[in-house]
Amino acid sequence: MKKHILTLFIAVVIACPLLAIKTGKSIFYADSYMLRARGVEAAYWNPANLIKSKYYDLWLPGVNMGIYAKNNALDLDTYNFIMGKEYLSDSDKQLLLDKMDGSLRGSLNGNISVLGYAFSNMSISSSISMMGKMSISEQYLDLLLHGNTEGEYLFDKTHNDLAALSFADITFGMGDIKIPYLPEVIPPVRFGFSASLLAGLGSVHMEQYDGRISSSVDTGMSLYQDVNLRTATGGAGFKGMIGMASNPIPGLEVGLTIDNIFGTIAWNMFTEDQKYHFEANNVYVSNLNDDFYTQTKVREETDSFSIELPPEIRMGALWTAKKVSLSADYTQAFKTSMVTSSVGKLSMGARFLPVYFLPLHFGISLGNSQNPWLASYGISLKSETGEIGVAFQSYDSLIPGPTSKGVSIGSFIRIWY
Amino acid sequence: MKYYGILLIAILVLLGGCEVKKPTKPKWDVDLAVPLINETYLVSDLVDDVNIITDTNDVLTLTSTGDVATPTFGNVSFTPPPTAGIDNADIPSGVPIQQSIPFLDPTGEVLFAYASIAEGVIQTKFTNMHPSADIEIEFGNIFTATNEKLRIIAAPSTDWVNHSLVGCHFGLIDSDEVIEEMQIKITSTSNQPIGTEIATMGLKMNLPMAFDEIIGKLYNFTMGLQESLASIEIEYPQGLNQAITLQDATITMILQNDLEFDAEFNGQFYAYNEDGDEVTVPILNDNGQNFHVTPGANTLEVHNSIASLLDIMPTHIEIVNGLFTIQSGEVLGSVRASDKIELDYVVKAPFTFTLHPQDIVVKEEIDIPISGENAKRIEKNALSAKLELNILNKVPVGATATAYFSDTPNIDVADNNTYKYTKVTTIYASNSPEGGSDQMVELTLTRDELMLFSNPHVYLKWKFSFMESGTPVTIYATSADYLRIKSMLYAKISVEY
Repeated sequence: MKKHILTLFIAVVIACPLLAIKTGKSIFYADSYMLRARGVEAAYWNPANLIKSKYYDLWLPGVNMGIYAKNNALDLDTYNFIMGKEYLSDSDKQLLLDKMDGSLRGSLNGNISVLGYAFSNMSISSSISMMGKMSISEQYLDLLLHGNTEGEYLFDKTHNDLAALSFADITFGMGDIKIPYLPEVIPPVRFGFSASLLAGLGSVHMEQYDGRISSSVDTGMSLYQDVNLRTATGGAGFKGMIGMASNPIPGLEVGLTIDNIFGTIAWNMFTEDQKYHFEANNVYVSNLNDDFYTQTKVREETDSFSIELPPEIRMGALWTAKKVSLSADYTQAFKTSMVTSSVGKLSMGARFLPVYFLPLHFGISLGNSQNPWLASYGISLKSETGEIGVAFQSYDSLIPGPTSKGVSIGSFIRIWY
Repeated sequence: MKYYGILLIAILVLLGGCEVKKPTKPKWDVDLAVPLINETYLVSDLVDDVNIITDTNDVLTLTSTGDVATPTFGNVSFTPPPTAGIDNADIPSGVPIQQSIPFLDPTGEVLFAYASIAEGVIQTKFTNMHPSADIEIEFGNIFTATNEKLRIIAAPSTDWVNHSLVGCHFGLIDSDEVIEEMQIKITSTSNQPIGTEIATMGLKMNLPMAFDEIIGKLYNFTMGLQESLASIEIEYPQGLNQAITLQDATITMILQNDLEFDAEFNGQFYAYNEDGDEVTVPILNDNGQNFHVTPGANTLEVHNSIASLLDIMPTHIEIVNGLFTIQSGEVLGSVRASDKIELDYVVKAPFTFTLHPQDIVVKEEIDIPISGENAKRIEKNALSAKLELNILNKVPVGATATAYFSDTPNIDVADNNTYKYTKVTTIYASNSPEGGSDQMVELTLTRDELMLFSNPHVYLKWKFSFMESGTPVTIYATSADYLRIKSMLYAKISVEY
């Protein structure tokens, strides 16, 4: 059991939902970053913008990073509210449950640069991404707070899930390729592509989760729990991205990317299923004995398996003026999977340059049924040869504070020469 | 730069507002619904085929078995007539003498065609016997173990000579003629002329004898039962005898009569109850007559004569003055010394009874130990509890059950200082207007009442007050006769980490 708890803990700690391979600076704009990414980062956001340049762009180890933590229900205010209570009344309990929306869902992820180098219209880079998510049914909290009544409680993977994934990538990108033979009425369109070789470090995901608690005077108390946690260490995969960008009018840039092309990670080392089964049927206090339940814990090797990274499309626009730039990105995957969401997400970003060397960054991402909305704030210091910055995000709250349901912190250092 | 100043101030204000309270341990209440029991207690489950059985009509029946026997019949004493003998008879040489001696029992109690002699002697005395005389007495009705006629060779003596008859027998085993006379044949030889008196003979066959087997007729012979073994002790659980009066009972006696004689059984049932009431009734058949017993197996069913015993709900029943009187008819019977009359009895009392509104206090007090850990949990977490009982009673017996709870032993239900509180529930008889269908009963325990269970021991005593049935009720043991109890425990507990 300790191993399971440890696995869960590790999974949560390293977990985050994967939409794409993020980079540290995307946090500055609430992920409205497709057309803002330049240099090495462009290979991850829109390789069309690997624009030929006389400068070389350098990513240093560890300095481009982002850490994301969020949940759908709890915030500091709620924590303080609960901790300020000696006794939880029914209304207090209901307040907690009302925040759940079916389940308590949390995620934690991170990414960090290993090394990157962009030259001319090409780049090669490496980063490590760790991501995962966990959800627990609201019914569990309901049981904890209110107890049980006669009836049946069913639990399945919809509201009780766990997934964690970590991998390293080596990405090659090339961009700024003009698409030829376009009609004259169409402004020039840049094209780019990137290819990432993925080295799977570890994977945990819930293959099966079925639970049932029922209590009635006619059938007694029945408990059933079937969990299959599939884990793997060591895998290899690939994903590709193509991107296009264009400047239809001065100051406006639009772009489109399709990510996760042929995206998959095949896990073929140390793959195993950790199966846990518990069952107790028709239990009455009057006939309790030592063997009123059956419990099995099995670890068995399993065949290699693949995690699919469904294609994801991103569209964006960026308007740039002298001291301000505004952007909007829309992202949607073709299929919901462990790492993508088929529910679209709209995010917007802004950069202000009150002073040339000290840009201010803002972003907001509208929430959807799966993710809370978020706001980003960042500041950076820019010079002729580089830029350094730090930013944070707040989930479900305009400003980071007691009502935030999550925070992200990102940092970056770019050096070009 | 003023923008950055404003931004910095805003960040500081925000961070200052992020108070994180020290973790505390809030408490809350949780309601639990725990299935406690769902059992169907079939009346037929009481049947153990030993003490509780069902009769042919599926009526639950209390039964008890035992056995009793007469002592072994023993040897049959027989005293020949005083005239059985020959006094000073002259024995002539060479002249056979045949003589019949009367041998009928002068009392007329024992007549036999065959009798194996366990004890007995014949006395002879030969005087004035010529030295050359050879005299032999042959008994026509007495045989040796090899079925040869008994012969006695005369020897001169001045005193009576005893000749043991042990191992010999009168008559032959397949004889059906009662021996009334003893046939004697005396033969002699000597060197004296024929007819010369060669001895004077005396013969006595009138000494008492004992037979270990006879074929014949017996009159006025009796065999008593071993009374100390012929008793039945009845223990009524929890004084149930005060609450019910049984309506019916039978005693079936399977009697094995080893004797090849008919017999008549005389006897009485003697019974008393725990109040000292006594009843003695004769053991008679349903026609009011003594039971007649034939050789071999007999089944005697005592029914009517014991009905009056049930009026006092006896705790002890025994057969007294049990006596078998041998009855000889026209046909010869037989008996051996080891023969006896064995009696296996089966008492059957169907559960047909009248219920009286009598309180029955269960004598045994239930001690419920509460571990220190659980006591603390109850004290700390238990807020209230409710027991919801769904009872379906298909048995025509109803009762009000009262549970007495205390933290000290020796609960006296009549003294409310010896218990803390009571809980009462009523289960209606199936044949009552309120009974026969699902009955919901709720028992609640308040926080104060639950605190009793924070003591190291809780003592519980039950009292049952049966509802008067008025008319006799019968308990059947079919699949439709049961008491079903379903129960959910609803508890409110305080959760505190």
